[in-house]
Amino acid sequence: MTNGLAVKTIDLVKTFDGKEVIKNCNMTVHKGSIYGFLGANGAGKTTVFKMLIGLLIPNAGNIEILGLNRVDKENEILKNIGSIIETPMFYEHLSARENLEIHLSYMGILNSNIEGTLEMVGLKGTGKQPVSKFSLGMRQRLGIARAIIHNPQLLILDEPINGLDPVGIRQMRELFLELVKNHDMTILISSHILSEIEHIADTIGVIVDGQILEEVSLSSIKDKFLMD
Amino acid sequence: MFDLMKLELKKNNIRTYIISTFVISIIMLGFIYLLAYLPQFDPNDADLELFVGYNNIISLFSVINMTVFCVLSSVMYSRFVIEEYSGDRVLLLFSYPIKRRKIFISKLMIVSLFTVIAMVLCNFTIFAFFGVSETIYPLVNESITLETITKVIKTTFIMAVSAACLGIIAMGIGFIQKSIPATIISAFLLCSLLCNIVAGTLTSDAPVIVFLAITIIGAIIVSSIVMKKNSCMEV
Ligand SMILES: Nc1ncnc2c1ncn2[C@@H]1O[C@H](COP(=O)(O)OP(=O)(O)OP(=O)(O)O)[C@@H](O)[C@H]1O
Ligand SMILES: [Mg+2]
Repeated sequence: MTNGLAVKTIDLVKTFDGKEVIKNCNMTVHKGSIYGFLGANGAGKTTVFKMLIGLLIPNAGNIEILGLNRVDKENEILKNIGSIIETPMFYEHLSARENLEIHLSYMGILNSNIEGTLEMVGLKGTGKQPVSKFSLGMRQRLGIARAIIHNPQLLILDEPINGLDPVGIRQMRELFLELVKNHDMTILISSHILSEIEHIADTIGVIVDGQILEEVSLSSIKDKFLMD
Repeated sequence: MFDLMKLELKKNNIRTYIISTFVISIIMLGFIYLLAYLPQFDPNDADLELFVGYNNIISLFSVINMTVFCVLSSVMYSRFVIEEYSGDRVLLLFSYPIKRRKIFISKLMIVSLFTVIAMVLCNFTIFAFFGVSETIYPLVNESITLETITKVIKTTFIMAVSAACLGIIAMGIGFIQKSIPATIISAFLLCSLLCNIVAGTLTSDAPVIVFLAITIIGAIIVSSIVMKKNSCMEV
């Protein structure tokens, strides 16, 4: 059964200085889907994502990613995750290309299509510029390029369309759909605005004050509407 | 590990530090002539006795050069370690399928190696230059013997290793404070403090060996503390 799941968290708890920020978080993300993680500022989206990647350690609960236990199979899991957490950071004095090369070396990948990936995110021809010259939107795109270039099975994107113009947002949405369809990726994407993710998400998980209130499958809602 | 070290070189512009080493070498070359010339200002001044003879010059010069390279090493740690681990870039660094400990050790190795090699080269070049000029136009009223040369080699290696170790200790202080100024200032203070303690005894061997042993043990303790902190760090 867990074979079909990209992410499964069971009763996840995280406290900061005695304050319970995440309370019994149960999240289920199916492989090959786009999961929209919706919550107001401070609801706990970033905190949950950080626990999935291992940047924060949960006080209680269990995490399974791609059918593997988060604690036991740390490196195997990390090889298969691409992520943006908050604002993506780069080595400013290096070019976009060099930043991606460094990332690939850390991921243990020898050759990859850097130009192709830059083109996918709409950064064709900017690979040689130092990142310090990049605009906010270009950084966001480069962050997405870095998250997908090692061809991970799971993408964890924390508010990835911050700073993009409407055209950029549409391009990235199309890219996300294409990644799921043609590259077998599963995408976990957070936002505090429903309209940002409802068009592309298969499932929406709503987090309020550190608790997932509901996980709604949009396809099932659509089916219902069609039947009525 | 070698690959990780190469990546560190790629991420951080190592050329800056090579250029710094050249600049330091030129300034310190001027400094050794100043040291050699000092006693001639006032041959009757007893305070200047400290600067008389090759042995004293070698010791004093090496101690001061150690301070300089220790500060350089702490500047490198500020970039390689403090900046990377206290900024947001650490989010990315920690999401790679590589043990945090390994990445950290690669940083320690690259900075320590650079410090030792740069300081040894700097010391040897300056002493060689000075030595040759002494045979042509001597400032010091002594002849260079095999003993002098052994002393140069020994002191240089001991001080280079000390500079690297004290750099690590300074990095540890900066890491805990999460502060670049704390790193650099503690490097300077540590060196000044230790120099004052050992300066008077530098001409004999035993205290220097003890001094070296203490800095090495200190560096090992500090790096294992920082590594432990780093392994369970939440970001
Ligand atoms: N390191 C920390 N120490 C203490 N409290 C923290 C820490 N990180 C997060 N918090 C608290 O946890 C709560 C959830 O924060 P989180 O960043 O996960 O929210 P978010 O849903 O990502 O919000 P946003 O939409 O603003 O990004 C907030 O109340 C925040 O103050
Ligand atoms: Mg957030």
